[in-house]
Amino acid sequence: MKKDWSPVYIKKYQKCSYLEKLVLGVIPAIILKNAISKKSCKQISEKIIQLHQMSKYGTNSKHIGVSLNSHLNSKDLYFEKTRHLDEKLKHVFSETEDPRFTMHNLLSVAFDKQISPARENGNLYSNGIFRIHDCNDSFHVHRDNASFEACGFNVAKLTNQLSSVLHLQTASSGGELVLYQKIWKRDDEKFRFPDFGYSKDVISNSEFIKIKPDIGDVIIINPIHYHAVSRVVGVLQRISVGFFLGQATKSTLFCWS
Amino acid sequence: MTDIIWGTATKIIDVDKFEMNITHRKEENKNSYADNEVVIFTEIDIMSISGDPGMRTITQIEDAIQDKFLKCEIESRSNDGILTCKVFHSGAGGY
Repeated sequence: MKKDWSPVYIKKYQKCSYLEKLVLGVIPAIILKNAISKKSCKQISEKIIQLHQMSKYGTNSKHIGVSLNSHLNSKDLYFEKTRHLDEKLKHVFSETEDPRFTMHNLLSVAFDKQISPARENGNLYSNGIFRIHDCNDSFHVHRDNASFEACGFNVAKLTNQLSSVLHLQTASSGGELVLYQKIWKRDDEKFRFPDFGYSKDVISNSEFIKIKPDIGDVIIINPIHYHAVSRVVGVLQRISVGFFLGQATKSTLFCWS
Repeated sequence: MTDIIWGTATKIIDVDKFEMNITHRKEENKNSYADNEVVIFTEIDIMSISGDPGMRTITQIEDAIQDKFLKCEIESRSNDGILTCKVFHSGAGGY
């Protein structure tokens, strides 16, 4: 485990000048502590679990939201599903805060940049995706890079992609973010698995850190670093909501999921 | 059952032809495949590539598939060893 590669912690409404260091890989993460109260996180989690149980997502589905990477060859369907789900989530969060927009506002203050949903030909990109990890679930080693993977979409033209995840409910044990210092390069595609992610060979000998999320924290990483989620242990589901950010201009970030 | 191989496009030869480094093979494949093969595609399910070969350029093909991880469904192998395939994006390297 790397000892001198440590996250920077910031408080709500605190200005953060570490964004460039995150982009450059000098620091592994910026963690915005207590971005949303534990009480709000509980309320939001309950709504998401209820929506998940009532929806047609099926028992194998682990998310609520639309993911660009699941629609790389079906742009129209991606935007259609996004519109449909946004309407549904507007209703779900009609009386409580929608954590995705709270995150936009808090990150906008922290980084002193305007943050808004990415758009393409009048269509709005998805504002974020809720992920539910059950006991024994984990996420294999992967990286996120729309510039490489989503060519044909406007967000592929944005620079300095970041990932922002709010932790609404944490696992009793496990469910840690494992963040490797190694950065993806094109030649690594030979380590790809057919369905998702990469062989562990790609991160052999790489330094890494583990971040155990706390409820209400927003963890911002540069997702070009390989990362994974360790196995969730216990009865509590790991519930999070996240989106990507990309830089359009010096003062503007666009988000999508 | 169609034979399936996966790997990365290492060199674009023409608007419908590329070299591929094979990293995965379906266990039930009937035929064997070398680590490096030349592929001609009859169909390609990648949004940024036109279905009409006459509308494509090598640069467009390079932008779309060079170094990308692809899935190839094998249709045939010619006498000179070139594979004819349907080509798809495969899975995702991230969310």
